[in-house]
Parts: sequence; C-alpha cells; structure tokens
Amino acid sequence: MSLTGKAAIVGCAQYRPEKYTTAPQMFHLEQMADLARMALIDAGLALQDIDGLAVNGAHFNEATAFVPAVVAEYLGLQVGFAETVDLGGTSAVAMAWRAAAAIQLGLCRAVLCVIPGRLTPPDPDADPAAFAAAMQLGGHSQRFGAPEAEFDLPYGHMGQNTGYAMIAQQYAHRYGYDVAAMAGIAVAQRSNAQANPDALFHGQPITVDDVLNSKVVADPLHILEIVMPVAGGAAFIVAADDLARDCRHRPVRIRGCGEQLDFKSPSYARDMTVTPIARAAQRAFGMAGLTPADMDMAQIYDCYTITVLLSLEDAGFCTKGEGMAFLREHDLTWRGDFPLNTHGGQLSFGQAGAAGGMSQLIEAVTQIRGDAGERQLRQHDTAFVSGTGGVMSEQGALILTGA
Amino acid sequence: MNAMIPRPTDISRPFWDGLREQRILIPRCQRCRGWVFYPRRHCTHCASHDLAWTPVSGAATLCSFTIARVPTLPGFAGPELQNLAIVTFSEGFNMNSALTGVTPDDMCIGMPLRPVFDVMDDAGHARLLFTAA
Repeated sequence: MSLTGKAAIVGCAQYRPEKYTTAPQMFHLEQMADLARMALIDAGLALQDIDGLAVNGAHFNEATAFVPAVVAEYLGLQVGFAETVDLGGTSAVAMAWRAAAAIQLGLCRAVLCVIPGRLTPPDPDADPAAFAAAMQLGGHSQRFGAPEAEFDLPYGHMGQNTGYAMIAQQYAHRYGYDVAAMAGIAVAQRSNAQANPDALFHGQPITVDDVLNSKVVADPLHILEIVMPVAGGAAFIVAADDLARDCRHRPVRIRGCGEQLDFKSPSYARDMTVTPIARAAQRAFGMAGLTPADMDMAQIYDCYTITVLLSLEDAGFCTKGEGMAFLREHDLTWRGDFPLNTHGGQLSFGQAGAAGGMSQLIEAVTQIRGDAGERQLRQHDTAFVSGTGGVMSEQGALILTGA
Repeated sequence: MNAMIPRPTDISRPFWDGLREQRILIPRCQRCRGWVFYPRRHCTHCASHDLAWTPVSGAATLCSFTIARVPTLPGFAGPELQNLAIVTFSEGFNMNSALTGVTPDDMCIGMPLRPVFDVMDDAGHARLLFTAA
C-alpha cells in the first residue's frame, strides 16, 4: 500500500477566522464558490482543470443528499471523482489522501477539497427555537433508536468537553498530569498566533497563569485549553504531478497517510489513553518511509490540549506516558526545537467547524512553500499533519514533503 | 434535574424494563459468552445473534469521571455540581452513567461502585446511577 508522491497540494484558501456574530452569513454553496475561486487563483489553475470533488458530508445546508452533485452543478464542474467525507475534524486529512489515491488511480487529475464554516442565512420560515435546540445538541443525535440518544443523554453525556476531560482524567490516573506543562501547549500556540495576523487571538498573548486561572469547564480542562468555534471555511486543491509542476507554488507532495476509527464514544474504547492516531500515524510514516524524527514540523489537531499530548505520544514523537516530560523539555513555538501548530493551532487560530482541521494542513503547505512570513521555519521540507474527529473517535495522519 | 427520558427500542426494552424492577439485565452471547453493552442486534465479539438477557449484580469500578462546571444540558443545571462517569462492570464492559451521593472530592478512578436505581418520573422510568460501594 503506498502513495507514490504522484499527487501534490497545489492551492489553498481560507477565510480568516471570525466570531459568528460579526462574520457574513452565506449559503454553503456560495462559500464553496468563494473558496474554490481563491484556491484556483492560489494554484494558478482554471475552473475547467478541476475534475474531482471532495466535500463535507455532515451539516450541509442546501442539500441533505446528493451533496457532491449539487455542489458540482453549482460550481460548474464535471467530475470523475466525487466524495463526501463525514469524519469531523479529520475530514481535511481524509480528503487529501482520498484525492491523492483517486489521482494515482487515474480517475482524475485535480481535486477540489472544500469545507464551508460560516453560518448560513436563517430560513425565514424556520422556527428559531428548533434551530437553537439543534445547535445545543451539536453532533449528538436525538433520534429514536440512536444509541447515544438512548444511553448517553439521560445521564448528561453530551458534547465533546466532558469526553475529552474523562480521557485526560484517565491519563492523569495512569501516568500523572502536569497542569502547567499542559497549559504550556496553549501558551506556546498562542505565542505562535502572535506571528500570524490571521489568527483570531493575534495580539492577545497569554501566560501559563492565565490558563490555570481561567474557568474550569470540565475537570481538568480550563477554557483556555478548549478550542473556540468560529466562522470560517477552507479549501485546497490536490493535483497530479504533471499539473502541479506548472502551478504557481512549490508543490507539497502527499507521501504517506493513515486513518483509524475505533469508536464514537471513548467510553467504549479498550483503553481510552491509546488513541486511534497510533495506528494512523504508524501507517503514514511507514508509507512515506520516514520517521517522526524526520519531520521539520508537526501540525497536530488541537481541539483540546489533551488531544495534542496524546497525539504526540501515540504518533511516536515521544514515548507513551512521557508526554509531560516532553512538554517540559521542548520549546513548541515556531522559534523552538519542536515547532508545533505554527499558525497558532486551532486553540489560537480558531476552529471553523470541520474546516478547522484544514487549518493545520494549510499551515503545513504554507510553511513548506516558505510563505509563512514572520513565523517561517528555517527548515521546512517535511510536515506531519493530523486530524481528529468526535472524541478521539476518528483520527488521520498525513506526511507531506516539499517537491 | 430534568434529564431526557430514555426511549426504549424493541431491542433494548428488557434493559429499561429491568431497571424499573431494580434488576440489571445485560445481553450475553450464548455462543462466545461475551457481554454486549449497550444492547444490540448482534454480539460485537463474534457477530452471533444468539444473545440472552442475563442478570448482573451491578458491581463496578469507576473508569473515569469529570465534573461539568458548565452543565452539558439545561436539565443538569442546578445547585449540585453535575458529574459524568464511565463505569466498568465487574463483567468487563463499560457504561456511561453518573455518580450520586459522592462529593467531587471523594471521587477517584478505580473506586468500587454499586448501582442505584434512579426513578426519573411518575411513570416509573428508571436509569442506572452509581454510588460508592
């Protein structure tokens, strides 16, 4: 099983993260058209070059079925590869390798991967109370027969915060927990955001004390260790090597990938401190013939600080159970010896729904191209990118290298 | 406290009916002897459909927990802090639940637990909470 590096990421686009209250409301199709155009311009490709499409499957506003056909028709595309991806925060990572695999199979030559993340204009005929109730339940199904509706909601098990908190508690019980070191993840990423004018928290640095003095949402997680949902949206284009050579920027090759789903609720994990990224990353590194030590940067999905810690361990950047020491021993900022989430991470860049995970991929591309401005790394040829959906339910890994 | 009342399906109904009678019935595979929770159409160990409702004592240990300082749902907002728990039955399977009669300071992973049948409404709907054994 391999990706032979015959596909590369050639174009990216991203709305600047904004608070929901100030961002424009646009239909998902309009956002996709916007993002597609920006990504095409970035790549130096024409609309007619796109012959593959990957879109998010969940929460699409203007269609409940036939989503790729609706999107392709709206955009004016005819495609030989169409995919909806419903993997939450690892959707972007999943789209990238699916696109690369489709290109390698010869099904298409250029795939648009796009996830809108701004609110849509309210339906004038809809009941606002029903919308508010649905928002409150997030991705949790309330439908008759849904296991989580029947066996989670009566006990209050709902949403992501408490699930991640219980994983962190179990980790603390097994291996110990250094609250200052964990807060340090959020602080380092906030420091990175100071070198990224597009980050939501640009201009607002924080200290370890700020994190530890912030409100505890679910023990042991403070609010500054939890990602802030924002309006946004992102897109990227994966193209065959021959097309990529003629694009405007250094192609970023997809050299390795892996994906693993083990459960929806970590309550049913065999061991909730061993996350699916372990197998996903192992496959990705194996496919690329590279190791964690070969990576110039790690762009690790960071919905919570605990996600970063477990990903560092399980992806092989440090030994299981020694993550706290790793955090204390390394400088995780773009200036440091272990550059992590150099755009600020979603913790400081903002999380635009399922498009949030695309920010990690786009930052890797930006760094590999050498276009990261003030936060540009000196060594920037190889990147590890991860995605996480649900409550460590589904994770993916990519190994990217500059051509 | 105003939690959502569980809506039993044809497959899960014996579990919820059992709780009304203060009994804990769990599907057990008659082929591989594996326990299946939550109740399903099949055995998740061997895919057999030969499952039998089997009583268990409810003896368990605390696998993990958290205190939701921000209530997860409006029904859990109240003077008492909301807790969430994952419990491991002595038979080896896990269940999402919550603790009752234990203060946050006394909660610790690995603590032995016993079941509490919590009647949720006048119709007698019950759910399974846990407390220190």
